[in-house]
Amino acid sequence: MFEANFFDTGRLFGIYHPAEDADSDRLLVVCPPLFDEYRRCYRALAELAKGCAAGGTHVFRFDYFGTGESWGTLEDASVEIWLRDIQAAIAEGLALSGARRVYLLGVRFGGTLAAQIQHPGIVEYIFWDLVNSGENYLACLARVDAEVEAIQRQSVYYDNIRPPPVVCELFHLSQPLRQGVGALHADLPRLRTRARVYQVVGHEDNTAPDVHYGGYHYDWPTYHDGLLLPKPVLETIARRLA
Amino acid sequence: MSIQEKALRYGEGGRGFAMLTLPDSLDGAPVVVMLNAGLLHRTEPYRLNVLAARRLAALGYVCVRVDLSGKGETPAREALTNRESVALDWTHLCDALERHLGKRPFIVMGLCSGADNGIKLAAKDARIRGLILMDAESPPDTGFAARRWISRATSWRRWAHLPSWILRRLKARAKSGEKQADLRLRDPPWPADLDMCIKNMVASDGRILMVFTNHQSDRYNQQGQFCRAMKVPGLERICAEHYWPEVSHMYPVENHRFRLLALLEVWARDQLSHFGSGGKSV
Repeated sequence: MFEANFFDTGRLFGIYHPAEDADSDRLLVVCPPLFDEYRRCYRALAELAKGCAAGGTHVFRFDYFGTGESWGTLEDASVEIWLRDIQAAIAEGLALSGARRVYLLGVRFGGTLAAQIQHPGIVEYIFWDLVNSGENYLACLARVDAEVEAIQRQSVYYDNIRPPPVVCELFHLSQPLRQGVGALHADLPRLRTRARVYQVVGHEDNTAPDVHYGGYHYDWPTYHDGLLLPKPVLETIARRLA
Repeated sequence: MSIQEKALRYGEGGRGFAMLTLPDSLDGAPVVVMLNAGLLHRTEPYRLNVLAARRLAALGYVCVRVDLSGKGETPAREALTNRESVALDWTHLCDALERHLGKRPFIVMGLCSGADNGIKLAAKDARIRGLILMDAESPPDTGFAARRWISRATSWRRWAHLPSWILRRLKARAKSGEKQADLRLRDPPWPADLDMCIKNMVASDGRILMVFTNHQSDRYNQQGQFCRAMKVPGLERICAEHYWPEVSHMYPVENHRFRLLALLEVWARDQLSHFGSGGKSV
């Protein structure tokens, strides 16, 4: 049974899944993706956490400040704050579990953020469809916004509606936040000098020994209403931790 | 003003999960239960439920973002239909809420299948005194078909796209010959549910806020259609109906979500005293 609570003086929301083996030394901290990508894979991360906990790894999931169920809004958020949030999540997960070895899972831009984190407990960084650079990520967001705008325009014009002009953004990012996101990139060679790296990707042309095809391709920068529950990817990550 | 949030467990062995948002004072605070939209978890779409819950709590409402079975953190129930599963979840959720907060009026809020479930529940549960429904089912009124025909016939974009539309249809037919799978994920209320729900609301002097987007344009195309089509005397008095044809079903555009939040806030502020008092402090 998981425990859901606010932590870091009540700013952040987190869910702790204790391992079935209470003496387990392993803790998986999940750095989720942002915005619409989080909506799509929320259930997948919940299922992954349950599976890993059943397999003997403690799991700690959390929402960055200004996102999900954490307090604040995006207006008040920044990349620096989100990086501090990851550190706080690691500290909380370690305190709750008593584990010593941290596996840091980053999904999409959550991986870009996770790649900036240094902590003595981290033994492995695991990435699921990592976004290598913040600039690329901003381009993805712009592509999704453009799709939303096109859908919006098509549906209203078909019905002969003249809507008041509106900025078609899924989420408005302030200029400082945009700059912060754009400035990040995942320096994997440097990361490999500190800890192991394990990447799960959606294509088979693997170029490094630590890159693994998850058996599932997903076109992230596309707008749609649906959810994502990619069993092969979840199994690949869970197997890594088993 | 200090709003607090905490987890709430409901159901057998605490299998169900929800988040409570508590206002400053619990005296007389009604409870807004936010049901899942489709398969999305309790915060969604696009954090709308989180922002709505915190705004409503600032006005004095208790809010509950619930993960019904099979959504978010709550495991699915096997061997039950969606209708049975939602009804069972609702019973357990109300028990848990009444244990924590005492008896209070409930207002059910839902988008898409959340609205469908809200109607089904309100048809049977007299504790539900308010509904906030986004893209609920609506029967057509007498002018619906004519309005739709005029809108389509006068849309030059529809005419411009007619050849490509016909071509796509022909290609699809030639390609498969197979019948397309019916992927309807909604489990809409039966007409009798809708009828009973609305009659209950009118009889108990409840309050309803409805917002329709372009997703419903095949069923709804004019503000006021719902009240006219239901033909329940007194419904217009308790039902605030809005038609936003420029807005998409899941509110992907942030400015549209802000517009919805503003509407919700004004409506909730106006109705707070109506939903009345009762209940106990925790």
